[in-house]
Amino acid sequence: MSNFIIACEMLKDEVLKSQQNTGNKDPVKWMDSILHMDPDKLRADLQDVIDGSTGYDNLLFVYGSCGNGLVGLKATTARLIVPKTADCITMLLYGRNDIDSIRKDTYFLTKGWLEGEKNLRNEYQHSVDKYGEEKARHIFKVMLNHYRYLMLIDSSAYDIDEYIKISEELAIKLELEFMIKTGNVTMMDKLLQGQWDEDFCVVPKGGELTFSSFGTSSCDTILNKF
Amino acid sequence: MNEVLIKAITELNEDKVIKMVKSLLKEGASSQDILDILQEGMDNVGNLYEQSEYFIADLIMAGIIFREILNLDEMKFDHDSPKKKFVGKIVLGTVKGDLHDIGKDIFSDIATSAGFLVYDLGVDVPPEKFVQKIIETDADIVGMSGVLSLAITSMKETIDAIRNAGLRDKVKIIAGGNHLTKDSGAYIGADETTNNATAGLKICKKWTKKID
Ligand code: B12
Repeated sequence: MSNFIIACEMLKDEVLKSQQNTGNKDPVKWMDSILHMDPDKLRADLQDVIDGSTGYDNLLFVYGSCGNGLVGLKATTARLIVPKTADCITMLLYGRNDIDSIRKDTYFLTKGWLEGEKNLRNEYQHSVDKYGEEKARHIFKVMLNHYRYLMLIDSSAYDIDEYIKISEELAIKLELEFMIKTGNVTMMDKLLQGQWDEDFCVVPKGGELTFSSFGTSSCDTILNKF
Repeated sequence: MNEVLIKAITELNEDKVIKMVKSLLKEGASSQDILDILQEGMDNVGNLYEQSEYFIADLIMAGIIFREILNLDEMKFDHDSPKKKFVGKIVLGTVKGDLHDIGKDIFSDIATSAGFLVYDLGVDVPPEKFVQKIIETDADIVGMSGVLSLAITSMKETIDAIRNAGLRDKVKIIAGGNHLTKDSGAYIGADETTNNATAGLKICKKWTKKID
């Protein structure tokens, strides 16, 4: 079986770590992480990649539903394997049963989220440069009004110490409480090893990923639609 | 239309925008004229954001400027005037599990300035709270907002709770969020879905005309 991995650049360290864990050597297409700002563009670009990926049995997505950015993708060239998860945050905190309570008032960071093109640090610096310090603070009060914690997820895929320092500094600027929690790359390990159990959505060639595909119920795809 | 003002809004030049709006109002412009110009500038900001020119911070800044203008005395809907009664009552909230509120706040602002009485329940609002507020306020419309994928599930749960409370026929329900489609709208059971606040407002106006 030949597989092709389509992954968000935001998760590059984690995917590489998982390949190392599992000995997987499948080719990877890295998608620009800026795409997550616009789910419609994300969907269009992913569809282009699917359409151009001929000669594989399976396309493995290192993505969640990402604001329904993946909903509507058509399996035109191969089977699509997609983790049934809301986004990369839930993916990296896989298996934690406190996930819902953590998500209530927390903004999450990883190395990927700290280094993406429009990360929170850049957002803040941009605001200071464009509007001045005082206004920037006002903007961030509105933006993060409902947030209390800034949480660095230790996915074990990057040098944590360097990013603890960066995150702590950012937390002070944004007036959030800094926290660190252990995550994992288990879901990626399962994806890369072909353990596509109930945590994954398997869309046969010719099918389409629907919004209920990501639900807790069984994978529901539209077949024979085109 | 006032190109200079549209440009100032698009560039998020706060001081210039406020100054210009004030002088236009003094010259006799109506609040609706100002709103139309504002909307055009806001659309430009939205486009620049989609083209990755602007940051999230800029979207927030646009909201701050928008709210500042709506708070000018001349812009406020005159509820005390005997001729102007509330157009309708809307219970609004970002659904359970979602904290994103930029879109909700924009809709809340424009609905308020169009004469709706908006009860904004904030974010992460559980279905019971929507139900409670509908009963308490005898609202005409329920507005649900959300951009996370899970918002679709929460929206469905909210409508189910409204139905179980026997209130489904008493209210019109509109769901907003950029990822919503007709399909997901049908799934959650809303009367309408939209990914545009102005379009949503038009729908609400149409509904309240029928109700009256
Ligand atoms: C801005 C933003 C943020 C801001 C939110 C600030 C705020 N105060 O709301 C911040 C930076 C805080 C943020 C945080 C997070 N975010 Co965010 N965010 C976005 C982003 C880029 C834009 C959303 C937005 O505000 N759009 C602008 C508004 C104006 O659009 P809108 O909501 O659709 O509203 C319009 C219409 O729909 C309509 N409307 C809206 N509501 C209503 C209601 C009614 C009744 C009516 C009539 C109309 C209406 O009117 C509006 C104007 O026309 C989206 C991506 C995207 N483009 O959707 C990601 C996105 C939603 N976020 C995402 C993620 C992953 C997160 C984080 C988890 C990231 C992190 N590292 O922690 C956190 C959330 C933490 C948590 N605990 O879950 C994912 C969601 C994935 C998922 N689970 O589905 C998205 C889809 C990005 C992605 N593709 O990965 N985010």
